[in-house]
Amino acid sequence: MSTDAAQVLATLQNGDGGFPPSAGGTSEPEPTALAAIALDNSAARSWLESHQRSDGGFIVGPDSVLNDSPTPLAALALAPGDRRDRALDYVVQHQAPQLGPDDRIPHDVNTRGWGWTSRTFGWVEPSARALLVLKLLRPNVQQIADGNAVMTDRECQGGGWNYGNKEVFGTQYEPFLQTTAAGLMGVQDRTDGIRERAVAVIQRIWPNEPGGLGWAMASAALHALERPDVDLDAELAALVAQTQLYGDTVALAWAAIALGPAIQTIRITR
Amino acid sequence: MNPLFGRRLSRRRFLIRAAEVGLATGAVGLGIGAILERIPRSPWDPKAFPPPGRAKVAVLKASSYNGDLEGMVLEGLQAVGVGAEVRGASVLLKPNMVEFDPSSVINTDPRLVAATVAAMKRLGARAVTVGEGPGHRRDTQYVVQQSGLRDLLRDVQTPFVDLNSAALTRVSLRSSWTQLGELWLPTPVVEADVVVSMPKMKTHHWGGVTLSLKNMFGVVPGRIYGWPKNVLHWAGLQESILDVAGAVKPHIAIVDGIVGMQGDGPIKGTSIQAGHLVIGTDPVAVDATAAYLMGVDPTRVTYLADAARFLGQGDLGKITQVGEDPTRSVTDFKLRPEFEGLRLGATGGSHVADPAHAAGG
Repeated sequence: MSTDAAQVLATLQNGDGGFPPSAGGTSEPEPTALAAIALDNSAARSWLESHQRSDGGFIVGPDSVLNDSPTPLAALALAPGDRRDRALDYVVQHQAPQLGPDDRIPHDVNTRGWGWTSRTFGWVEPSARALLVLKLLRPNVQQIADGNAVMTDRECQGGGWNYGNKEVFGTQYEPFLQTTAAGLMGVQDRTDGIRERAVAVIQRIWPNEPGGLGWAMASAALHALERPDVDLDAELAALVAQTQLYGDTVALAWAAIALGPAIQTIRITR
Repeated sequence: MNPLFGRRLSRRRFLIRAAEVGLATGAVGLGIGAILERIPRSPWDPKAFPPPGRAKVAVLKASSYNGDLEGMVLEGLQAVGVGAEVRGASVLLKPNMVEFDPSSVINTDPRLVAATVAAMKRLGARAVTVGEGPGHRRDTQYVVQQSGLRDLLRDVQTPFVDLNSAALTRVSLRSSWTQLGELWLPTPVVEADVVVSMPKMKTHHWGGVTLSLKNMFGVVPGRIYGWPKNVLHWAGLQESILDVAGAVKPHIAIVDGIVGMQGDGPIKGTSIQAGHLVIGTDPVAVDATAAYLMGVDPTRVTYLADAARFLGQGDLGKITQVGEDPTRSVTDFKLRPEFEGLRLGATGGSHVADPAHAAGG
């Protein structure tokens, strides 16, 4: 039995070069993009190239829903060139719609993030991943300001992020580990305090949220900042060895990115 | 006898419900007549949904999770005639594990889930699996681990499947309350011989109550529909409940009403000792009975009233309750102010339109 995240991840690759979301499934863009990054895997990149839509996007699910959220990660996984450029163009051109005010779930109506699915609300994780990739590969586009504004608007009291809303019906929502890690990756270059609050949240809550995906993304976010938590890394490695993260490809890929050379890929130069 | 028992949902009452839905979805500026013209008379395939017949629901008194839950579940299942359909069948239990908070009662209690696994095995199930696709937490394994479900499932040697990452099967909808047309659903759900919806008895700040029908949101995979499953809110919460439950009509519903959640459910409410399990093979009848036990008039809950038109029996007068007498078992759950109109004996409408950035819950 493999005990290293990258080794376990490699065993999940399908014959078509892509990676499934869980062992035995069919290949999909998000796990394939993350695995391509984690393993620097050319077959996975080829799978992505063959599944890019003519509009530059990467879709999972039915056209009626149009989940295009893998597109930023696919752009990051692709080699520099036309395909990557078209994927980045897609990200720039496909933000979530702005919503009007609603006192029940207050938010800044001027912000505009990215949704999981086309034409729906912009949530923390897809917004943060688009922000990360644009900062890495299109650092001069004005959409970066949009993404930063979303992360500021959705920040929970005291720092970090819930999955999307910070307040509903006057009740403050708590930050979650996995979404805070995603958010931290997107704001790793910011010096206005939002980054440090997110780091503090992760350091405070990770022992209480023992899950493979949350730990892997938290570890990756801290490594991207070059501020790893050695206890978290040790616990993550032990969890991989013990459970192989239950064959969750996305979690394994983030663990491999966190603990391997691919961390450079998600590190924003500061 | 409460007047609800024996009362039918009249056509006038249905039209009021339909108008509420139309108004809530933004048909501003139209008259009621025009709105009604726009509402399909039967947004479902009548061949797929025969008219609901009489139903039987077991209401069992259960004061804690420490008693003989397995025996109680078995008693309830047998009381409503469950037996032959489980023997030799593959059974998928779908509890509500939308997210986890150690200080709250969000989830179906894992002890009840494990007890139901054991009961299904005693009834001769060939295979039992527990599955959930949390709507608010992408890290499913964290929810399963911290809730205690993983350890209990290990004890009863039963696998857990993450419905957010499982293989998918394309399913054409047999109803058209939304414009979705189809859903991509987890293959373990689609292929199970028997699907058991196991909700927590909770209030819901967009829908009024969340029970076995709303619990089926958890089978809609997050990796397609996002976290939370925001597509379903854009398509309309009430309408999505109907289409999802119509696509995966649970064969059995077991409501964890031992300890429920009141007030700002399904996440931020407070616990309430309700002291009952509600079990049946008609999820609409089970939900109608459970809502009644919460002090809520099921005919005033928009999606339940509509579900009673095609998906199951919502007329309490046509539901035979075995076990406890529901009229003597009501525990009034606190409701958000906008849902006070749902109370037994209340007057007026109580439809609340969920905002487009509402969460799955």
